[in-house]
Amino acid sequence: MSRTSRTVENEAMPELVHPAQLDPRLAGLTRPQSTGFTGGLCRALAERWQVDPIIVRLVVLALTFAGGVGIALYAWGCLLTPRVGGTPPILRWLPAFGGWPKNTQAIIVAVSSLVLVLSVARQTGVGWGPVIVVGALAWAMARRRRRNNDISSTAQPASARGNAESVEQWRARLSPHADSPLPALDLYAPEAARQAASQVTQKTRRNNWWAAAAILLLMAVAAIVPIALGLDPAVLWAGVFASGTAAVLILMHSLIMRSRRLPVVLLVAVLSGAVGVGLLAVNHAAASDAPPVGVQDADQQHTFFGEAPAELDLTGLQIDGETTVLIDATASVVQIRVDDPPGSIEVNSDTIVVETSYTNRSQSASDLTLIIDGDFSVVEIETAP
Amino acid sequence: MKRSTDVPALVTGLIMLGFTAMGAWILSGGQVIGPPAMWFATILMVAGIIGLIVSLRASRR
Repeated sequence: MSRTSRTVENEAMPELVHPAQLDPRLAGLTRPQSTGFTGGLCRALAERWQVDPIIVRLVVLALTFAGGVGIALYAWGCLLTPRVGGTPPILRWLPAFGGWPKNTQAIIVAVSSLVLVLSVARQTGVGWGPVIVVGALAWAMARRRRRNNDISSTAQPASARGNAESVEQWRARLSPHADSPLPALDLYAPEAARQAASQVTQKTRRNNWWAAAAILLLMAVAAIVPIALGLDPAVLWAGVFASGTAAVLILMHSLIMRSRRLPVVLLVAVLSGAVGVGLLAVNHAAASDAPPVGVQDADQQHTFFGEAPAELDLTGLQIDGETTVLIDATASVVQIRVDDPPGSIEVNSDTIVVETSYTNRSQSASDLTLIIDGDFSVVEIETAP
Repeated sequence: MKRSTDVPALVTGLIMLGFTAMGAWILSGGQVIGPPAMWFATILMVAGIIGLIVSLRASRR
């Protein structure tokens, strides 16, 4: 292989998030070529850690039964680690993955693993314990690795590191601290190749925080419009207007401003908001279209949406025999005041918290029945002093 | 230098646009055929497919 072609290969190999970020012993990890039907990851790890491969396999197997954590770790480990002399499988199946920033890659790895683990844990009834333990372990290892790197880079002068380190070792050590792939300059290469290598650092796009701030500002302005127009329910329409404005602006930015990218934090935040608005809209429509059980028999019905705190005074209510009052609360805190403790309280939702505060415990219960429906609300019931 | 599209932002924008349109339609009293969850899943799937197509085309270039 000629010197020039090696340089081009180095340029083409993108920076990937790698297990070496957790443990320095895994730097440059490669899986063996002939491993049968398995990925060979356990054997490669065992060689680096200098333990028996059986131990690593048993640990992976144990983690697999702990909510599928082992499956997620093994799958991503194989995807990010190349075979000897090859390229990481993720770059063959999804070449664009290598072009994304390492933080984005890490988020994708973490979120996909979490989704898989939570799905398996839900199906198998395993708790969150293994996920929390593995996550804390990974965080601690990454933190230790970062701290060790900082100490070694400040405590020792560069000249004292010895002459035995090759250029490649230096590159491997420096590349985690660089925002972009380190350029590979070949002094013997043609002029065009050298220029291309020096431009590698310019390919990584920077975050456009000004655009992010402008989008948030325009979202706030858009959210005021439905409130000014008096649309009902105002809070939900405000969310719809703000999400719509953000969606259009984000789309325009992605298609027009190609030299800069929007911060991932902003994308995650506004997307979460849009999902919340969609879910609340569906819940609201369901609540207004299909009355909950018992509403036909209710003597009174009160609806609260996005009101905190809201007060409902039921003192002085004429209770003739069985009296039913329906409370439909969504994203609200409702304080209900009654003369006597209700005889029955029926809660039709898992996301409603009911708190009672009766001043006189010896008070006899009335024939009042409270049916409470809705979502994400707190209902406080208290008796009048 | 020709830059490729910001795929994460593109997919986020598409999903948000779809979810917002769904939310506005439901809030304004429009009827949805089938369960709303199916429509939300369709929006996610379409946005994902578009993102994948754009991403793969960019990587080929």
